[in-house]
Amino acid sequence: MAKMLVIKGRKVVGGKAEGEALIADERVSFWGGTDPTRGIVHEVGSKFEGKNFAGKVFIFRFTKGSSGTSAYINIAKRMGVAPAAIINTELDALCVLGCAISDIPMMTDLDRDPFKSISNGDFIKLDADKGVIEVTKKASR
Amino acid sequence: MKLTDGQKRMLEGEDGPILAMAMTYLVKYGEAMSADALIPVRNVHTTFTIPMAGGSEDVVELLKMFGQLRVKVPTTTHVGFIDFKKWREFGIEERRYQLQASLVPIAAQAGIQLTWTCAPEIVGNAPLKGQTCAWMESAAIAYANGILGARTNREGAESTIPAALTGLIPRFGNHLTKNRRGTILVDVEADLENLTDWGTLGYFGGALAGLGVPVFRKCHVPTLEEAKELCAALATEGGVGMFHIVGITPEAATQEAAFQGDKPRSRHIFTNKEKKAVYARLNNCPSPEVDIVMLGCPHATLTEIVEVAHLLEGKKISPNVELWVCTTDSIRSYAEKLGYDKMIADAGGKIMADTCPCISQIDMARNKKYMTNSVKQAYYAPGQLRAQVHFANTRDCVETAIKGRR
Repeated sequence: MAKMLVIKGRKVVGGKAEGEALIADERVSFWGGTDPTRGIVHEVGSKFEGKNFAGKVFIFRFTKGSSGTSAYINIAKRMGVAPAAIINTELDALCVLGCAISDIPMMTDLDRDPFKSISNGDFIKLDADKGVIEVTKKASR
Repeated sequence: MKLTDGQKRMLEGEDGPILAMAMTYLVKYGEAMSADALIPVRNVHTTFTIPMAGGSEDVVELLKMFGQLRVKVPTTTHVGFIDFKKWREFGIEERRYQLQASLVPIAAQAGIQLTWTCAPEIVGNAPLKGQTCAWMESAAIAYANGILGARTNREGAESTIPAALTGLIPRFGNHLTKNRRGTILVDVEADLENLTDWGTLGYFGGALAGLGVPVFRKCHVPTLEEAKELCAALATEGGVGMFHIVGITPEAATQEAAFQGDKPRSRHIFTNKEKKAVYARLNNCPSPEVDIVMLGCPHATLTEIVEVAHLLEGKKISPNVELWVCTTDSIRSYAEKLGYDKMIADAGGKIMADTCPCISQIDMARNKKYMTNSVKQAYYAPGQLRAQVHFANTRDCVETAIKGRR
């Protein structure tokens, strides 16, 4: 029996998505920190360094740094390597802009600390319009 | 978000499909950010360039489409991916040059001022206190809000191009006085002796403030160049778009004004120890050797170019080292007219205009031992250029270029 956890949150950009969680309590800059043609984080020293976010539910604290973030999210979308959804615990307008114009579901304000309750590889199903995130723990899959 | 009747009609296509598309972007974005309205914007800093990575041609088509209209407000542009005059010298392939150059007449028709700079304030785009702006470029955004007291959120290409075309931007965040309130307090006890030192303060404050509003206290008035480095560094490890310096910046006559009567969420001290720690954090080159010395991030002012020219006077840069000062073509033209370009060239250095290595990601700068006086350049070069970085002040950078090693 799969162990499932339901987390509630707030819609930023609507839509449904599912995928494996790629998660860390970390800040991300899409410009400067990622290669948007391959969907890979290349920031040296990042907890995500070398990880691929394509098709994943990408969960981190917020976007830092460059204003190229929105364009790089959009490039990743056009190259077919964007995250399936993004969950942030704080909102930077640049990540929101990138998701909004690329139709990538985005959520925030979760009723649980995602960094304590979600792990890399957990399977996530989210419905941003309903504000619901279903987490199937990796260990039980 | 409430739209006026005129805005609704624009969204529905009454003013044509391009403005309808621009409005769709602004409405999607504004609603996602819980904005209450679209308000008139008076000043835009946008991009009109091909993205480095993938999909260049279709973006060119998109920009050509936008270029059929005239911008409704004064609009300057962020850096490009090439040096428009010396692209061959910096190893830019012809295709990239042609793609970018094809946009120049289109921008002119649209009324866009192709300033090609990450520092619009150094080429005359310096909005006044309270002006509603839509700016991209993280360093320029912090400068507009914190140093000038103008009002812009951290905008990107997809909001600033629509803002230029429609004359509108969603109202939230930094457009509202309450959100400009300080969040953390940083007492500055370190010696801030040059622009690089000011950059280390920005790195420290940004890392602590995150997306918040740091308030610096007890420091002297920075020069334009020092303020520029402070702002660039605030948005590296942090995502700071607004900050204050008590007694110095426009909305911080007093500490109480900076915090709008509230208390700081946390208090911090920046001493010489913290300053040294930032230098240590950004220096990651194990070898004393240097291949490239890069100065001018954000783009150098004429003042910075004069300083470099004088440091190089009568000297020769080591034959194994490239020294590049990055700025805008307009400032390079001044430097040429006044002889500073020649002083730098005679020593073996170059002025790179309209771009920088981290933006252009030119092959010449990849996988190199890289030295810079800029926190921002040092911060991004390991990822963007796979570089190993030496980080030091301007004088040390120039002396190292001459000596050939640290």
